[in-house]
Amino acid sequence: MMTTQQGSLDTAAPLAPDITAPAPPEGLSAAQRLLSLQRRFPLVQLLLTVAVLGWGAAAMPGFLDPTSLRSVLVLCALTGLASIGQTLVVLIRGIDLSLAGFIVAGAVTVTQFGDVPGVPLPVMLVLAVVCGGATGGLVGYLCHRFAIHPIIVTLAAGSIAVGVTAVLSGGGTGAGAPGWVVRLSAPMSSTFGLPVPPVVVIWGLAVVAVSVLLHRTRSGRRLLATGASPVAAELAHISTRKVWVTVYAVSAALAILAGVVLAGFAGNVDNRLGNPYLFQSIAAVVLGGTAFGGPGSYTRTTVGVLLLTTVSTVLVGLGFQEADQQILNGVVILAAMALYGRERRLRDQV
Amino acid sequence: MTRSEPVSPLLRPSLKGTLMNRATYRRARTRVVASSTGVVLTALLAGCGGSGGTVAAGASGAATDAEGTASAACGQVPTIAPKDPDGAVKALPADLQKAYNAYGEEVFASAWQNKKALGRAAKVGFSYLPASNAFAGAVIKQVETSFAAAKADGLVQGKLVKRIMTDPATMTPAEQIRGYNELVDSGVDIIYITPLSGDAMVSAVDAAGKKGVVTVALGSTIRSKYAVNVAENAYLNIAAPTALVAGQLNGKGNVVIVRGFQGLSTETIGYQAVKDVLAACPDLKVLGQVNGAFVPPVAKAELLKFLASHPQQIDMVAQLGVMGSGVYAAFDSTGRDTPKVVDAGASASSLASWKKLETADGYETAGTGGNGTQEAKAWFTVGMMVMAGDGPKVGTITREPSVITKANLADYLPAGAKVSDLGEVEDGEAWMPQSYLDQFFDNPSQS
Amino acid sequence: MSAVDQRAPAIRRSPGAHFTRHTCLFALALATALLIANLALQPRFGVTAQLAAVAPLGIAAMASVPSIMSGRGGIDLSVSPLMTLSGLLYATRLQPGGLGGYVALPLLMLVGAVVGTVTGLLVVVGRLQPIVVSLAMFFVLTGLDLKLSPSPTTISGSWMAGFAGSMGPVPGGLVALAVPAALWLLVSRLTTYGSLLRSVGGNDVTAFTSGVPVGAVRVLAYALGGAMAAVGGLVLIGLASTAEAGTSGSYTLIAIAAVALGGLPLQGGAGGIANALAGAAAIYLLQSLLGVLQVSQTWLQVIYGALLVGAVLFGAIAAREVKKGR
Repeated sequence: MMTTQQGSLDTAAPLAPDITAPAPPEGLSAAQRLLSLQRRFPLVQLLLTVAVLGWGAAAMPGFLDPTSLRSVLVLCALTGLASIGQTLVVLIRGIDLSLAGFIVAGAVTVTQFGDVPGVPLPVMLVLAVVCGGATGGLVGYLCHRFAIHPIIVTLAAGSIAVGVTAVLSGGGTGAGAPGWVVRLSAPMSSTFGLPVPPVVVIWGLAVVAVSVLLHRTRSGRRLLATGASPVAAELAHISTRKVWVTVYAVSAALAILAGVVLAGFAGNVDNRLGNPYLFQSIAAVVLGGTAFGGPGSYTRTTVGVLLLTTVSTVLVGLGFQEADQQILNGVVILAAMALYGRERRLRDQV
Repeated sequence: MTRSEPVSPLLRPSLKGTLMNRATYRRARTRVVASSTGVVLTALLAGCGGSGGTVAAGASGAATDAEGTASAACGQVPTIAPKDPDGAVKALPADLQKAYNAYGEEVFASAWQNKKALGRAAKVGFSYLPASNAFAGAVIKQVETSFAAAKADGLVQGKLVKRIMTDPATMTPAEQIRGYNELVDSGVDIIYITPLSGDAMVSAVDAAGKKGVVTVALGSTIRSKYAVNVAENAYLNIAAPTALVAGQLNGKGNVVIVRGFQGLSTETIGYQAVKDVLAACPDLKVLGQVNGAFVPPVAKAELLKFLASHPQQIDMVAQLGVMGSGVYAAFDSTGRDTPKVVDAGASASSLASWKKLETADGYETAGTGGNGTQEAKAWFTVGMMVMAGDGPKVGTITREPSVITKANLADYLPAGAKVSDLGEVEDGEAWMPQSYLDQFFDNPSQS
Repeated sequence: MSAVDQRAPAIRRSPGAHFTRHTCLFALALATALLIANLALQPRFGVTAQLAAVAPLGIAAMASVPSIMSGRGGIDLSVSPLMTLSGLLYATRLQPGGLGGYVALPLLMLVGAVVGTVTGLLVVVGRLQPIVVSLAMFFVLTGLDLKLSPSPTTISGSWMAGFAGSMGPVPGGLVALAVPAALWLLVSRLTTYGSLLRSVGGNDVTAFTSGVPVGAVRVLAYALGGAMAAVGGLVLIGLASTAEAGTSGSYTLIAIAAVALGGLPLQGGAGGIANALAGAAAIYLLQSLLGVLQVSQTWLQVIYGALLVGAVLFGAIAAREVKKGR
């Protein structure tokens, strides 16, 4: 990548025609062409997912049974729904560690507050989403206004969310989630006649909705601009503060909804319900190739989720111990990122 | 690009960076990355490690070594002598000794055997972990109730001084030790503790014991003679129902093991128990194992992943405690035949699943019961007995497990329990009634 | 070219360093206030025991400092499992192999440095994002911990028991904190490494064009963090007499919270271990105070979270001017 040298004022002609533009890439090797395609499209991740699926199918008969696929898809959908907020937050150069806490808050709401006298469950859920959103908005506001790194604020917000729900619900252990919530994530259920569990359909719709919102609307553009360059965004009269508040509010609200669905899947709810999804969401975003501050998109995260869940399923099926699974998790993340997640060289940034 | 001289003579100038080599360097680097990735992926492919994974039976430590003895016929619980360095177990009546069969940790004589009665109301401390399930919540509630009752009887004074870990996500044994030491410093006479790690507490308990503070532990065993441990026999808790189920299957079938939170000694002991029982049944094949982390939803998710790749019939699932409801949920949601689940640490939910399946087609299996309230009651009583100078004969008080089978299911199943209930099981049988506890003491008074 | 750009800042120390010291001072003030409250409510505070108990947290926080200071989103999430790894290596390899004496300390610090170097190389040579690399290393190390010792390993009668009590006249906790601190101060003060690290963290492009070997500085930062974390593993054994893999991840987030509370700018380029120590002390004393006050379990998490945010908020307000200027 050659750029014009700055500073040699004495030798440059005053009106140099055709100021050297970056030369069009000639003779790109296949590798370089693939790399540039990879920058726009999560190619490697998809290939890896297909490869792992193929490996699983070869090594274990019955791996690609419709029933098995449905179970795996449900698991993907749950992680995927939990990762929407994380993707948005990562796109504006933040991180959201409160995911676990809000998931628990949502799960507890749907299991404990189903029979408050005078308040039907849907109203309760709306209330929970609104409160969660307000808390998230506060988090975004504090992070932006006082330039505090979101790590610690979201961490604290997560604990507060769990704590407040515990206080309100009296810390009791109640019944499980209502039937309709359970049916959302049951692998054997169907949606309007389609042999696909509802949660997968919801996830699919979410992918479309988030992608459209992110890339085809003005608010989405504002979000991406804030992540790409906060300073430039401010100068372009984009209120980065509003973006931060909205993104964190949305992330919290979505986490609460994810918690509701998870409550149906999990059956019983305890404080540790959301913990695996926190690390998984970060890993999925990272594996998908979304960089901190962009570029990235939710479709990339979706592919990341598919890759992560498929690898995990195959590892479990092949009998890998937990220790080996953890090690392989780390190695896969590194290997995948080495292929497509590398930053520019320092000397190229001078 | 111009550069000034390197700033520090300590550091050599950078080796890379003349323009001439950049292209070659970049190509070389890409090749290295690509080939290393290839190596990694090949390793993944090649390392189709242990189907039915062999786990190196952990490092030396608290784990039981099956000094394999008469591993009886299939469907029977192995008999393994407990580790009894002080001969304290041998000094107990014969039928009590059965409770110590294959006990995973050493059983010491108790340093409090000759403790004189305190003579005044005791000051009580309570070091516990954040309640994350129904059992823990019930234990905490019962301790408070028992304390209030004891206060009314004049056995204890003041307030129950508590120390709990602030944040469940970041709790460490070191933090619990700190809270424990604060309790000791605040002048309590007896500390009730639910240890995060029994091994970690040993030195703190020893130091406190030398100062005369009694420690009574529930759940995890603290291997100190200054601690009185009240615990289930973790080995028998798993071995007994597993053996029963193996018998019900006539020793033939496919088995999946659902492990708990690896790294806890109770988990290692339970896993050893399953292995020992299954070793006697050559026709029971272990298809694989899944990591449930003692959290039912995690067990469900991991089991779903396993089931996705194993379409063959599964006859038995040996889970290492409290995850029964998750296992049932996994099979229920895939519509596959539910196998016999070793329901160690049963809950209202898992028993309700039993009942549902039994009513449908005569399902039967085995499990173990026990709930927080009855265990906490016995635990508190033991502490009060030690304070009254009753003289515990042995440092660990345990019992044979309350086995749940089809015959006594009704005793443990709470009335009207549904599969979605989060509560615990009913009392079933008395966990450690006063008459049972009295046998462990030299001069039992009335609590 | 030299005439044009005189306002290009040289490695400027005054405002940045002042305010960093300021925010560290804020955390110190908070810690002092909490200490007084604790002493008032707990007549038998037991300084030795408390120092011993805060040592692992302090070491974990200190180990996170160099990587954060190196800038470009530098962070090391793998500190906690690395601490456990060093403890487990001692328990399963060194002590049975006869190397359980004082020689274990430098050996394990070397191991920690090697692991840190691997992380650093992945960040620098691989040009991967540090948070991704350290997350992956977190997984790898957690798995390694489990492989080394699936069940807890007990160690009795080691010299590290002194960390829980006293080593001679000095409280063991102080010694525990002093070892990594000494390593850091030696490297950063006695050589020019400290200022190199700050320049790299502040603006790596500028540092690069000034001839600072940015890559080497960053790798060394991660190596230092690894060496410091290894000490923490031995301290944990001293406290608990056991090494176990089950709780290997416990110090991850709280170490980051401690350095953030201590005022270390998470974008790098300023600060030092004083931030880590002040933040660790503040969090520790906060937890202690909540315990002494017997705060009801249901409210505990809410209050803890709110206080944490409040403290960080105050610290950030105090340092707001500098952050705007960046």
